[in-house]
Amino acid sequence: MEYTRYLLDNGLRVLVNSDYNSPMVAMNILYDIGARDEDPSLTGFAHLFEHLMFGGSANIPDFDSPLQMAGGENNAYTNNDYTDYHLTLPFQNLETGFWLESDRMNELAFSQDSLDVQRKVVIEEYRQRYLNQPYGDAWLYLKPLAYKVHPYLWSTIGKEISHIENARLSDVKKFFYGNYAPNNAILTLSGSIKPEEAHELAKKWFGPIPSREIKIRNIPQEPVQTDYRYLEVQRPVPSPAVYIAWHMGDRFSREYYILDLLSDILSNGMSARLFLRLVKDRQLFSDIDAYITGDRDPGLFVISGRLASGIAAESGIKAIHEEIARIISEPIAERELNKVKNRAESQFLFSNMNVQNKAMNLAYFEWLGNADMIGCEMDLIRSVTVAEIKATAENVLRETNCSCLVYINNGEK
Amino acid sequence: MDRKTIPEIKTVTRLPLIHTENTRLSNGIPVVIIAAGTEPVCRVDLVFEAGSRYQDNIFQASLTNQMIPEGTGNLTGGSIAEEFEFYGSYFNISADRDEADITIHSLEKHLEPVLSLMSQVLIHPAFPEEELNIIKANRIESMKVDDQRVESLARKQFNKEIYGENHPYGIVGEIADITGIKSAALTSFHSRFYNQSHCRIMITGPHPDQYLPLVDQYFGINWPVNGDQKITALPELPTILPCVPKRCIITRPDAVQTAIRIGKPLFNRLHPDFQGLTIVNTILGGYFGSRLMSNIREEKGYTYGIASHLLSLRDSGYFVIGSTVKAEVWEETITECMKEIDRLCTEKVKTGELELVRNYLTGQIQRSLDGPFQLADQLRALWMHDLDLNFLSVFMELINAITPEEIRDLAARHLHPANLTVVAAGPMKSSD
Repeated sequence: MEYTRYLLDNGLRVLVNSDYNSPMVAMNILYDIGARDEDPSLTGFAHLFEHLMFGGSANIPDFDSPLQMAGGENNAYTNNDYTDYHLTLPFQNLETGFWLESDRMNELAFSQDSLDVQRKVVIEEYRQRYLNQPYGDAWLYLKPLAYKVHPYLWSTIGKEISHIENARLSDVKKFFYGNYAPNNAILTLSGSIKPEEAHELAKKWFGPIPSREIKIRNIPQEPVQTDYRYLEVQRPVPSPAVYIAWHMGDRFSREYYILDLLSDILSNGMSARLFLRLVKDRQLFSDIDAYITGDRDPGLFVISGRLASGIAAESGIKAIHEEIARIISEPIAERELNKVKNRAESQFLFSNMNVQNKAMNLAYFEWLGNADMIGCEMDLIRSVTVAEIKATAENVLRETNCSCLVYINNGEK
Repeated sequence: MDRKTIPEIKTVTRLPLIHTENTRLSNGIPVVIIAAGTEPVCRVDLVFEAGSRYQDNIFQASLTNQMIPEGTGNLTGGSIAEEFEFYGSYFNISADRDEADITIHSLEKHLEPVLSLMSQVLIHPAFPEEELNIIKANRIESMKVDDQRVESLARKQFNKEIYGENHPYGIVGEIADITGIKSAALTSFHSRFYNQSHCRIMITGPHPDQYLPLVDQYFGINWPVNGDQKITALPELPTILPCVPKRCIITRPDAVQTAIRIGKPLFNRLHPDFQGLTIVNTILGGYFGSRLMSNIREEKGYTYGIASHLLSLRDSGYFVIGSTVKAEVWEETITECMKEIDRLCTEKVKTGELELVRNYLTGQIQRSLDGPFQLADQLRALWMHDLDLNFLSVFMELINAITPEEIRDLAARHLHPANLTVVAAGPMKSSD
């Protein structure tokens, strides 16, 4: 992906990808602040704050209406590591996006009403996504089982509802000035826009915003796990389910690419091993998946599945470990490895098909260190060898590095 | 600098230029070709009139669709999937009430082997009984999970209420319906509906001239219509009886929230009021700044989200509001929804709000056409009714011309609160 990079005096990085095939421009702002930066007694705050970013800024009482008036649409998300805001507009009205995003980076309105309502909205989001679904609270248990020290131990939505209820307007102000700043953000654009024009608009609207002092993060790192961890929860679920997690390397480690491919070998697609062997041949699971969490700090390699009717969780867990043992004892065929590499390559192409995805990818890789990394991703994936997968599986997928969460049916309907 | 004033807004009134072309394969299958995109990837949609409305047994249509890639005479499901995945390509299968499809995404350079394989899979599926049993068992497991979700309970009940639980559009499959289906039923459904006369194909990508001969080779020349092949006429849809508005309560004491559906059967895109009512629906609950979102979420904080939709089926359509709300406020939410609808039916929308919705909708149309595959999705939805992009040009004109009076009258004609069916599923707590 071609792009031009600018650095404003206040520290804001601006990256522009011109794509004149689109009638739109996508604008993405990534703030380098996520759930891992939260105070352990105020978890869920980064995400709650994301909601407040729509409650009006110093000069604009409401974010959404003017954007919609300009034919735009927007959304945002928060994860463990960062917070992302994205919008798309017809290219004719792009300046409205600059006007809106720069005003809320400059200063929020800090409205008590907005805080009161958004606390309620986020609590309903908590209930809808995590409490009102079978197996919905799995990650609320799995993360603190796997992490004891690192803030990845809590979920983006927060450890508990009371943390959201307890958020005060003074916390909101402190959070804003401590984290939302041009020198802690990346602005990317993709679509019908010339790089020079985007640069001029960025200087005009974002240039006057002062840089702010950002505390250097000091995140406690997770000590090496030394024993197998197991937790059983009883729920009125239709069938047992298992979630097995192993600690792995960070986003910059070679392990990241190796285990990403291994998770594909195990479960990406209908010819993947866990699906063919455990769902179809042995009919132990009705559904199974393997994936990496993809976090910036050391993350997790996870295998999760729902057991088939009448199958006990232990049999499922045993079968998963047998599949892992096979990865280590029998070399993976070159064709099988090439298959998942080809698939990764095409998924990468398919993920760059519209301006919003392009702006988002550009911001993400720039946040990782440098947007040029986009061009290296495929080479890194292609370079993974059969021997590396075996060695990494042996090193990571060990019992003492493993946390296992099991849902057991408690007999209620 | 002036941060108070919004930069000048330009109203967009024209659709972006899009190149489509209609043609036919050698065996007569109609094809739409969309030239779009810059990346070396393409998509082929094989669309069949093989939705659940045509089935004799519940689940026959969806299981036929799901079982097509599960094996041919000499290939297993696993080896078929392996080969697709080796080429970095993938396919999606789906079946709804009217249509069923197989959508292939492929790198341009591998399109030929991918189409060759897919033509064998599609034309000669074996429907092995063992695979079917596994798929049935897994479907039952996921239905058990769904049956614990108030959202899916409310959705199923709403569907039964508006079309009647015996009408092909209203039938909702339950676990008991799936167990008796045998492979023979799928073979029969496949031969009746997955054939040349009930098929349409859409081809999308930057170089469609290169793909068309390949598509014709594998789905045209290699798939001739035999002289003695009987063409099954599509069964007529039974008359949809008028919907008597009802209020249904499903009590689930353990649920944490209440799922709500409010709506009624209406009409599809071919109805002269459809486009106007789409604008009405947008104002009510069709975008983030809608009246329902402003009232129920942004003012009261009762829910994470609420939205309304106008859905278009081949021979009908319906209007529905959906939300999952805090358990104690379900009745109040329904009352507020009715108030908002009533306000649309009786009061004229203010100029500022209408202006905003006009601009939002034109932006939305442009957005929906951005990127080759989003564009293909839009055209697919129109093509079901034999409509093309002209439908959107006309819609653009209406968006810019419709008056507040027309909006009010459309709402009053079609969305009167007394005619709406309400379904609520949850613990059924009360606020007092």
